[in-house]
Amino acid sequence: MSFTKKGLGYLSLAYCIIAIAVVFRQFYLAAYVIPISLLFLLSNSLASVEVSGLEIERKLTPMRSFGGEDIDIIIRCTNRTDRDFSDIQIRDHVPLPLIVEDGLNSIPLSLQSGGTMQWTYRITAPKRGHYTVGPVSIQYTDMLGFFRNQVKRMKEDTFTVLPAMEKIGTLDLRARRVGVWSGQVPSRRVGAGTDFYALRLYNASDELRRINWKASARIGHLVVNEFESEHVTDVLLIVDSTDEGGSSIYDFDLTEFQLTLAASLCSQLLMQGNRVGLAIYGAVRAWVDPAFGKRQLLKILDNLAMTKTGRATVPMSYGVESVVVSLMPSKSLIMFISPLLNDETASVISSLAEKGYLIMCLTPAPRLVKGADSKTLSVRILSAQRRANVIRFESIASLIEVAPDISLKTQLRGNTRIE
Amino acid sequence: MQSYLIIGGLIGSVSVLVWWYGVFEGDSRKLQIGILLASFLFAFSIVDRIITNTLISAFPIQLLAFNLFLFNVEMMSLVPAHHKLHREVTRSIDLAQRSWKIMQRKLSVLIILFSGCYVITIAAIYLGGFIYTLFPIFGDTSIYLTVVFVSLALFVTLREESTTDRYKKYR
Repeated sequence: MSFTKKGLGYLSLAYCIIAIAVVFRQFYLAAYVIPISLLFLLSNSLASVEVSGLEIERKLTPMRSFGGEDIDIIIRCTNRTDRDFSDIQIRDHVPLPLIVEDGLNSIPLSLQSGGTMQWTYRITAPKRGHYTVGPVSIQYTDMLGFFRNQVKRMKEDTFTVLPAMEKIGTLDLRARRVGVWSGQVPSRRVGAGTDFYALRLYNASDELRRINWKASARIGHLVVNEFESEHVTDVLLIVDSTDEGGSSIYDFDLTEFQLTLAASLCSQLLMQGNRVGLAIYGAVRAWVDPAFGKRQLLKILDNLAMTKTGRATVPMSYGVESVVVSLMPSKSLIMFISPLLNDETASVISSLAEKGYLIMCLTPAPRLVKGADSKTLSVRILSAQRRANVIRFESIASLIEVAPDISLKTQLRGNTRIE
Repeated sequence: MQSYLIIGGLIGSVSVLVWWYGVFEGDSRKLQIGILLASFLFAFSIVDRIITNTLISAFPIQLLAFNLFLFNVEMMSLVPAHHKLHREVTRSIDLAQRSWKIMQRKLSVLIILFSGCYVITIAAIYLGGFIYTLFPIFGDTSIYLTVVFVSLALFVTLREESTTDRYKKYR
């Protein structure tokens, strides 16, 4: 509870009258305080506001967005009491950096008993992340507006802005280790598939359509085609979001680009039926156990949404290796998304390669800069250091450099096949 | 004395004119000017009554003036809001009509409230006079002032506590 300006004004007036009465020793003057006191008393007791019966609902659309999409918030107030409400202020708390673009998040409301009021306001498309809207606060004053009360309804709603995704088309993967379920990764074993694997002599149980007639004619015996079975594989994506100053060589938002890449890869890999996990290394360290399906994609995207760039709190050798070893069996495919700006990354990747993991490294390529001023020179030196790292990595892992101005589909086509 | 009355009458007339003009226009600035003029006139009359020692004899009229002054202050917060709504809400006649009804209802409540305040204050003063004749000790100004101070302080404290309890209930 707090006094409004009006309430304070009235109270000041009352005390002024008392002060004048004391100064002039005129007790009748003090009687002018009686109407003010009565106003305070009657205003409070005649029309007490009971807002517990006011039902408030909030609906956010969409709850998950992929960025660039405004969020509509619908507030619905229903008066479940047998009294009419007049002049109450409903305010939905919108924290920074969210900005109300259209409509109002705070409105004065007069609601009859049983009445309902609904209004919508829109929040400008925020950046990637998790956001909370609320709680709703109800502000009301007494009849004459001497006191202001505020009740907070402990109701908060969260919405997530996921990293943007790009369609990258079918990934042609090779893996040393495949799962038992059929998928799209060749397994180097005979089975149901589409790629030719070998020839063998015909058995009585073989289908006639599998007979390779040309080869049979050449050999003189009936031979049949055998195909390479295709299975799913386990993939772990590691996103390196550490920033130790080297990211200035990029003239685009490195983190957002890496996250778009990770989200697009996860989506495609899961769509192809693979078991996908995620590990994020940076200011925020998180991981998602490998699993299949759409729910896993949402889990991964939710984790990617909370990624923050910054200095990592634990060394990469511990932060990444321990997670990889605990989550993934040996010979699994590890996709490392990193700008490759430091030497530690190289030692971690070589260590993982030694443990038998198949490593594929996707690294954002900086644009070439020309010039001789000090800033350009420092960028060029950093780029040269990164280039040296890249050359070192090429001997350890399969490396794909990706640029933001070319579609990922074009850049990844045919490059993801590693042995 | 004559010149005082003429000046007072002039200020009073101007304040009433400005006030009513403000009410019809819904202009809060004109209403504020009217209120300021009226408060100046009221303060002037109070000082005059204190100097001439005629405060007690003119008390009912002065109190009525004070109540009317407070009533006008309340109207000042009511009328411009309604006028604003009328100006802005041109599409929804229903909303404007509702606002008019609400204003009428609030005005009638205010009239009842201020009439009640006036009557209760007069009754309290006459009751005080009656008590004074029975117990002359209560005629001491300091007792009245102490009672008024304590009651105001108690009122504020009790208001604070009741609100805290109500808030706890919600949590």
